[in-house]
Amino acid sequence: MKISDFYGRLVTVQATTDLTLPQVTKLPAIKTNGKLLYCQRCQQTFSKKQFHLPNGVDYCPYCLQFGRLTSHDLLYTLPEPNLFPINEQPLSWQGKLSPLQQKCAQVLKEQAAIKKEFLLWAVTGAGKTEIMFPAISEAIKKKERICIATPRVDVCNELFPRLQQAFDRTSIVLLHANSPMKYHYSQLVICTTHQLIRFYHAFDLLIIDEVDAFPFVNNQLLQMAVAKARKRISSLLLLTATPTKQLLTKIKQHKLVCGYLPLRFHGHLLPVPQIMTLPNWRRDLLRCQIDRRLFKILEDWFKAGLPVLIFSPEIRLLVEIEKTVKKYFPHLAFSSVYAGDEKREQKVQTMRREKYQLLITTTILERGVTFAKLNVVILGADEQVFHEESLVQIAGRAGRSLKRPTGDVIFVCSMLNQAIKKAVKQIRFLNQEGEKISDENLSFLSAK
Amino acid sequence: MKICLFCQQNSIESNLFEWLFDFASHEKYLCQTCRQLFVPIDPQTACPGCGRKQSVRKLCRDCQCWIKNSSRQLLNNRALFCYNLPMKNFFERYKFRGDYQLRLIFQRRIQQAIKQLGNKRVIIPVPVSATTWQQRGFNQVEGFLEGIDYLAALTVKPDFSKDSQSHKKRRQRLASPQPFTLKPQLNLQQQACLLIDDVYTTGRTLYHASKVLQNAGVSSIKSLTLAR
Repeated sequence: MKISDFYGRLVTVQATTDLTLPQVTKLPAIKTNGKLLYCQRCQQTFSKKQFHLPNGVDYCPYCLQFGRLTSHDLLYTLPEPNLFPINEQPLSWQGKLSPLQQKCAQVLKEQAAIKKEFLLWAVTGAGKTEIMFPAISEAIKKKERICIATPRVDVCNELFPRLQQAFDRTSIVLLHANSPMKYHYSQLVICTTHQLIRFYHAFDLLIIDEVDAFPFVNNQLLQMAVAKARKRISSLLLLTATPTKQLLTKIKQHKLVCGYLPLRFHGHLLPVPQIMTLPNWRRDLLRCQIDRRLFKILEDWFKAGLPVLIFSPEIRLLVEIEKTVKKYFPHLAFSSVYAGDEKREQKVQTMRREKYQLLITTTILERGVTFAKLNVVILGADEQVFHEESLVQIAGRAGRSLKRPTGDVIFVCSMLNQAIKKAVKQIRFLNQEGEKISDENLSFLSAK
Repeated sequence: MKICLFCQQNSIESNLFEWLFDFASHEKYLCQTCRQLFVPIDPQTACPGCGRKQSVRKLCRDCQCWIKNSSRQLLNNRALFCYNLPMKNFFERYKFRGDYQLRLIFQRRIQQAIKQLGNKRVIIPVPVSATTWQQRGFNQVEGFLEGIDYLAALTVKPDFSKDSQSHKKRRQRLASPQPFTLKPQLNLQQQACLLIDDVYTTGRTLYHASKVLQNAGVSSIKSLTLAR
């Protein structure tokens, strides 16, 4: 084991092994506090009685997926030394930011420098990744350690090659449960929010993309992991297209500073969803039928060669949808994908290369993925799985490319509900704000 | 409100009717959806040898092979659930990841089955090796038996190199040598026994264990596993 593996990390070592390392800090993995136990890795408290093993050891039930921690284990850590090479020109990205993005990036850069928390509310397809570049580049120049964490594996996988290209002289690592890379000490870390549990006061700049996504949202364990992974003096940037209620309240209470970008990078407005009320869509689907109106629309799209995503509220329905599509469009190249699918990444890649014209999916593809020229249909938009934020996100999959900056979004529902109304309202509101900016020539944007 | 132990997401809805009139079978640890993942085996139609789920009661092919190859008496195994993907997942988390609290999910069901099968039988769990016990911190079978009387009569031979049964292929598993011995100074002469194990896969482990018990002179052996 190399000494650099311990920098800003919590490494599990069994108490019996002797590993002699100078100046290493040894923490007992599980601290006892009367009848309660406290896990030093995931910072959860739990009762001793419930998690006591017959051989006299206690274990932590919360972070089992990272390997079981017992009271026999020790966590070794070394303080983060920031041993990175001097890099005066880290950014190798050749692209250009639009004036609006540039302004936003400037705000982000300033915020990253003052070591505080900051939320950027940018609409779907605003080009958040590119907006981060100047802030990251500035941090690399200062030899800081940077992490970009996101709750979604797909988002990680999409971010990694882009950042690798943009910062090709900087050491970078991609960490998630099925990552092909093993951990090594690097200046730039791209990981899922779960992986932050293994870090210990490591980062000077921690960026969390899609803060409102499952499983990060409302997950106390992960939120505490974020606090532990940052250095005591460090900046935290939160990025989202659909801030949650809690975040919005925090902004109102002035506990969180917020900047806000209501226009997409290409300057076009967000596509407003069309609502189609089909009370019997589910029954029709089980009978392998499509409503005539919907069929016409789909037929037009397929004829025009536009790729389509269909979102299903349940994994079970994927098979039914596939059957129906096969019946109506026998010559169509399509597939379906869900969270547990073994070929998940492969299928998404195929879709990206436009080999499939249709991909049927669940909420796993609601955010972080970009397919050019896309049109979107949500079946059962009034189901519980599609709440306001995910509806806005899904609608935001359309019209993301410069080639086709508009797109069609159809919400199929058996009846209107609050979530749909609120989602449409939010999109309209953002469009209004967006129009203002394009009118007022970008004078609107500022960190307020 | 309690959260389901298996999926750790859904809460367990208590059905008031169930709760009032059928308190004993009231489900405490699984939510509605997770309950349906585990497929119970009907003992009326299961294979009389190994307890495999079948539509008609007859000896399955595996058991016929056992008779042909070893001409010994078949175990009368009772299995409670099918070894399907969720069950595999359960064992992955319980045994290999070591989440000891998951024992609670099936504890009551196994103990009920023991009551049915083994009145006045000596209950003997299949042991784990000393190294496994050290690593895992528990014996997965004894976890299920918490709170009832059992006799840990068997031990794994100390020189037995166990490169984990579950990573072997079927043929390798069937060829594996006897891993168990009887603990010294135990008298099991003319006693009826009930062997308990977690999974019946090839039957090798249970047949090895029953051999040891037979040599010790027990009068009859039955066995019970959680999955088949």
